[in-house]
Amino acid sequence: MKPIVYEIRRTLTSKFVIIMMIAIVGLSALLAYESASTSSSVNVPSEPILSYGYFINGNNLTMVGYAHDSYGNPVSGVSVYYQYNGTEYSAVSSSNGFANSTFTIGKSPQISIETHYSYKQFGNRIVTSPTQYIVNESSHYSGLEIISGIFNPSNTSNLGFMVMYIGQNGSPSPQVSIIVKAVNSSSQISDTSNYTYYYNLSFISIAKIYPQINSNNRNMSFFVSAEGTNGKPMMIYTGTGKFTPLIDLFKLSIYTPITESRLQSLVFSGAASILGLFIPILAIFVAYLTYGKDRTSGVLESVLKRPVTRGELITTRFLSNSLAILIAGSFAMIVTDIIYDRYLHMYFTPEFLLDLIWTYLVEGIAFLALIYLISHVVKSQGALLGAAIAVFVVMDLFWGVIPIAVISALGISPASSSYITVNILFDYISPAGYSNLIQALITGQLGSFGGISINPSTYGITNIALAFAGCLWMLIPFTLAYLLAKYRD
Amino acid sequence: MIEIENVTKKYSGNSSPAVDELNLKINDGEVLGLVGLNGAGKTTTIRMIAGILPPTSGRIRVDGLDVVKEKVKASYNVGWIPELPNFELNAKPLTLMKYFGGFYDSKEDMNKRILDLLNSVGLSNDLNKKLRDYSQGMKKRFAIAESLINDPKNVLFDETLNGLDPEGVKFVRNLIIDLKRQGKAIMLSSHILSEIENLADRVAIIHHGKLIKMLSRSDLKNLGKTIIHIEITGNDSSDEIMKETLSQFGTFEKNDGEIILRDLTVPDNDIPSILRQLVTKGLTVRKFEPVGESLEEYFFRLIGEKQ
Repeated sequence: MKPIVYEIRRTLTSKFVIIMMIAIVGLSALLAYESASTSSSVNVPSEPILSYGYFINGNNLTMVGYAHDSYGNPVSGVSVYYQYNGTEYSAVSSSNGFANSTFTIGKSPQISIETHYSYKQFGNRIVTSPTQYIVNESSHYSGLEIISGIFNPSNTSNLGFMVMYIGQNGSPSPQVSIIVKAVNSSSQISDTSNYTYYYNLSFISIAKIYPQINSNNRNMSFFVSAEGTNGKPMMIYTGTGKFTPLIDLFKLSIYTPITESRLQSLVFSGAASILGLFIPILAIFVAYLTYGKDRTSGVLESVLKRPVTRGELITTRFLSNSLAILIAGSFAMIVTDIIYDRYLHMYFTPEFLLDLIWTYLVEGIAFLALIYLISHVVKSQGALLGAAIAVFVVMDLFWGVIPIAVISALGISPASSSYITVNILFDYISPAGYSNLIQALITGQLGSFGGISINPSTYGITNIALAFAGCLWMLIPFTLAYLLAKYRD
Repeated sequence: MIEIENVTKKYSGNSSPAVDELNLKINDGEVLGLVGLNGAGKTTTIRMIAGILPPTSGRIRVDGLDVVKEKVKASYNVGWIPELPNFELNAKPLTLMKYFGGFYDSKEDMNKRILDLLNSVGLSNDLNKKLRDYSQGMKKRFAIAESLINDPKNVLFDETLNGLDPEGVKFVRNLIIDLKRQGKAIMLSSHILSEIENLADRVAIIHHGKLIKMLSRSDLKNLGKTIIHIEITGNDSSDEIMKETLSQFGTFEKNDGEIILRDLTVPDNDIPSILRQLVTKGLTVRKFEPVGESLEEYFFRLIGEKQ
């Protein structure tokens, strides 16, 4: 067995590394899911909505009120009030959502009915503002009405519409074709074959229609028309006393595509925070377990007596440890990328993905090299473990707090450029600050202390400076450890 | 062959050297015993030969190869069994042996050699255990096996007999004899001086890092001053006669009926005159045995003189 193969296998199959990898990838995925699903979800209103229709039988007008939620589902217990000629009539919606009220009307081409409704929410009764519904007496029933803007429960970024048919009392059920047509940006009517829905409508019918919305027609405008079985257009009542052959629905998608910068901000505020904490833990303790502990306990001597130099041995172990960090960071970022694409429909750009992997590789390898270096300075296992914990606590866990304490002690105003300079300085001092610097370079935000917008280059945050700082953080501690291993031990 | 030339090792600049201008040579087919008190520099010397510690000055060569400048080549032919072997405790013996075997370009079937070695040290029934579950003696047996993985031409035993059961001691003793027969250069450091006396072709006594005596096999047979073991039977008056007579020839002590006469006032070739005097004075002498000092006696006398 080649020694490097054994070293890699030993590192990757150790219980600690496996547990940390699962934690890093799992928590990154969870945070990505949380931020992506929150970001992509639409706030669907919970208040009930009333849609109205009517039919006239002799001198009696029956107002039909359908109480429904934002998805078009019936809502019971909503009190609906109809006011005509100063008299108020009321009904409470039943389990099918209908709250109908019949009252006698006089002769007039158009009758205005004032409606409002009330419902309970969190123990309080909410009363809506009155609206006017126009009854066209020339038509004895409102017939077909289209209520737009209901949410598709399977994808709240997409909208549908509700078809409500109120027929003449005792009339036979007509059959209609509901036709949804899309208009592209050139005002051309697109192929409508997939958007025709057939219904048998009874006296009072409610139907919900969710046209299929995909990335091709997400930005198209839609309108709805209806045809009877004879192919003649069926008029759609508008609730304002007028009938129209078609109703404009406008867009049926309220999906807002995410921007690259928004996606990057989501990553830095989500999965990145987990990696910033856990990658150093992985690095520090894998260095302790596979190198420092072996060195201080004398286990390394069982290898050093072989035909191998100290330089080769430390380099081999360092590279195998680095591989674990690379795998954990890369895998976490790739899983995060897939989850963001699932919810936000956007992959990271290759440059951004590589930037992230580089960031956490630098952080991890820098902490790894620090522990390798300390392993050659301290004499005992206990001292090394204590030093490793101290490095984690001071240089990673509380590194974000230390500059704030220093700034407070120095009396520097949070609004001043000195404040930003000190924070950036601290980000350069510890590898834990490297992700903050990369974030500042990519997004122009110094996120660790409240998301201050800065011009990165003003504060010396440039591609070259960060590449140089990253290389120094990885090389200096390791080179010192290498030299100590080679010449001092 | 191992050559140690003017080797000094200081652990820090101000400390006295752990090994001081040491010169030793171990020829092929020879067992060199390394004897000294704790802190004499035995383990430091062995660790320098094994390439674990670099000497502060001087040169160590293994089969002509400098252990510092040509570490990889030199280590190829060195096997080191430390006093307290330390291994990666979560590993299983076979896996670790394969890892160690990977450092050597062995033309032999390494897997077969590993199994043979583990079998020869009596660990073939414990291959599924992790090393953390091994006793100290089992770890030492494993250390013997892993040190011989490349059939090295030079083998260093550092207090290897400590912690071994009688069977293990016998195994190591036979192993050393066998390795010597194979023409390997062997350094044996042990506090059990009787074992050194039995096994070593030469014995190097070091004290405070310096070589203070090198004893050959013939030297071991006649170490230092002669002492005489005497047994006399008789009545109370014969005891007085015995004291009077022996006090003329040296100092004596009585121990469980046996008298040890040392610091003789007569040369070795005149020792029979002591026996003659005893017999002439009517004493019945049942035992009269002139012997050299044991290595242990010699060692303590030598160290005592140095201190």
